[in-house]
Amino acid sequence: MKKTIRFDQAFRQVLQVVIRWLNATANSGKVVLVRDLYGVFRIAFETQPEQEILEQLQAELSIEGGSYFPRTSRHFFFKDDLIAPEAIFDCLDAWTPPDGPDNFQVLDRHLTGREWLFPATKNTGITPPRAVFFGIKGGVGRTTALAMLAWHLSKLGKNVLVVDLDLESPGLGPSLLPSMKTSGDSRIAQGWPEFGVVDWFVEDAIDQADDDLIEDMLGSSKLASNGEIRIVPACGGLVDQDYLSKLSRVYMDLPKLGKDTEVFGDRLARMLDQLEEKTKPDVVLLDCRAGLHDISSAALTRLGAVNYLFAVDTDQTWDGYRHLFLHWRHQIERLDGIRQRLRMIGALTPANEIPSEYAKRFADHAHRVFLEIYDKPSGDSEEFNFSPNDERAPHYPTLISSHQAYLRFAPLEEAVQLDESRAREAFGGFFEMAVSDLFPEEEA
Amino acid sequence: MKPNYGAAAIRHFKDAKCLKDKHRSHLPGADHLFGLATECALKRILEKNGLLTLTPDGKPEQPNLRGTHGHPPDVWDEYLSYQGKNRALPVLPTTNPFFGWDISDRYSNGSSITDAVVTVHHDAARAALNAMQGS
Repeated sequence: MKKTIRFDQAFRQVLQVVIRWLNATANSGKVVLVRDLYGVFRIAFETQPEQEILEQLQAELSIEGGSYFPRTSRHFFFKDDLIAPEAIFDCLDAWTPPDGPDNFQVLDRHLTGREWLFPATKNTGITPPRAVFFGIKGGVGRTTALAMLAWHLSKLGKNVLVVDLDLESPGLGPSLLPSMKTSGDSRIAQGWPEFGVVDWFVEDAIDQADDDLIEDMLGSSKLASNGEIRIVPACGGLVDQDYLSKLSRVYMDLPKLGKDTEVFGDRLARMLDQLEEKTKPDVVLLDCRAGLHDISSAALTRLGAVNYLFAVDTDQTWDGYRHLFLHWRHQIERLDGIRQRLRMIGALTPANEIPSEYAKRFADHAHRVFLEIYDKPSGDSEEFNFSPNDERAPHYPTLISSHQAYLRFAPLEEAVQLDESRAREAFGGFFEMAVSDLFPEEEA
Repeated sequence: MKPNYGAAAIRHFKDAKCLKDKHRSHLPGADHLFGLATECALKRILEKNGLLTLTPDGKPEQPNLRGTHGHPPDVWDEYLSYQGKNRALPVLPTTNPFFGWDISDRYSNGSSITDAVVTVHHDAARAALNAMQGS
């Protein structure tokens, strides 16, 4: 019995047919292969081919695409007939496959995670350095490392803004702000700002993300010493709020009549701009949720931040990063130097390991995955390529050791966690790397 | 005249339902209007999401909308290829329910329109209207 044609196979085969046809034809207009949310293919032509050619294509593609090219759909569109031609011919999501001609693009529609393939947003002003803390898996000490870095930078006299973007599992607020308690009639927890990141998104949708709101989203952490640590929690300190009702409305693109829709990542960038404008920090640290989630896509690709990728050296970690890099690899050029903004962090390094040996082994595994987004060696001096043991390479880890003292992270309660020498033992290398990364001029 | 796609979608749908419920002889008319109701609802969603823009005198900005385009069945597939452009575009079923529906059938004697066909088009129009009203 003939095997059903599945998603990936259909794409490979349909792409092959279209590219073969394009290479053999004189069609010079732009051609866009659209794969819709169901994975079903349609082709939009700027210049209409002969009917006979379309029939041949239809017949061939029905075979190669199976149910992803169903006979009961209209598969061919011509630019002049479209209601919104720019939404197909001039769309940020479209890309040219490496073996396709220049007049050909693939437009893959995604219900979520679209912004993994978007370039950075255009900032209107000069922003302070931003660092995104991301992990493909959770529970590797990402938030702890962020809080400890904020503490360290504050000791160096830096004003730090930290923002919790782990909206589905908020952790930064509870780590850096006092335990949630109210006193007297107050409906807001002591020491907490009234609002958080989710509030900004719901208020912004009806044009109410004003200066007052920004003011009421900012808390101050007691971890601060020489510089301030301002914190924007995911969830504010209002006691009787419905957090999930707000969370369910966060990931919204805002349609605008007669204008381009403002996608989620652009809104996130606008929120950050507003917060930075208000607090004028020296540096911004963003705690981004683990996994291949929408907010991670926006934070990693769109904010122009350096991205600290947390990992433990296991197959499941590398498989996760490989999925991401395979998605990026054909379009890496347009992601605004994303490769230069990646830093691997070897988290939870076991205490019984010799760090230099562990780092080499880690780097070797990471390198295999990073090869997906490194250039193939061609002798070109501009190429982005590193050997496994190159310590300057994005894949080469900065290690954070697994330390008993930080298993339950609560620095406001457990003073030992802020003990200078203990912190240096676990985070010293990371602090050093981050400082030179975020403040390169001072380093020089 | 400036089109009001939303109001037109509802008007065509209500009229179509009246005709459908009245007598079998009105099925071709009902079927035609379910198609137009769907078209208007999809255009309203696209308009609301900034994908269909009208000039100040109410004409669609694409001057070349011609032939069968902009009508079912094409408009359904066209809509499916825009879904995902932004998260606010509601998702419609993948199988085009208007395959075989033709805007030129307004010139036909209507003998090919069966109960079953009208039911499919009724359900499709309702899905499009729900999408329009929920978006």
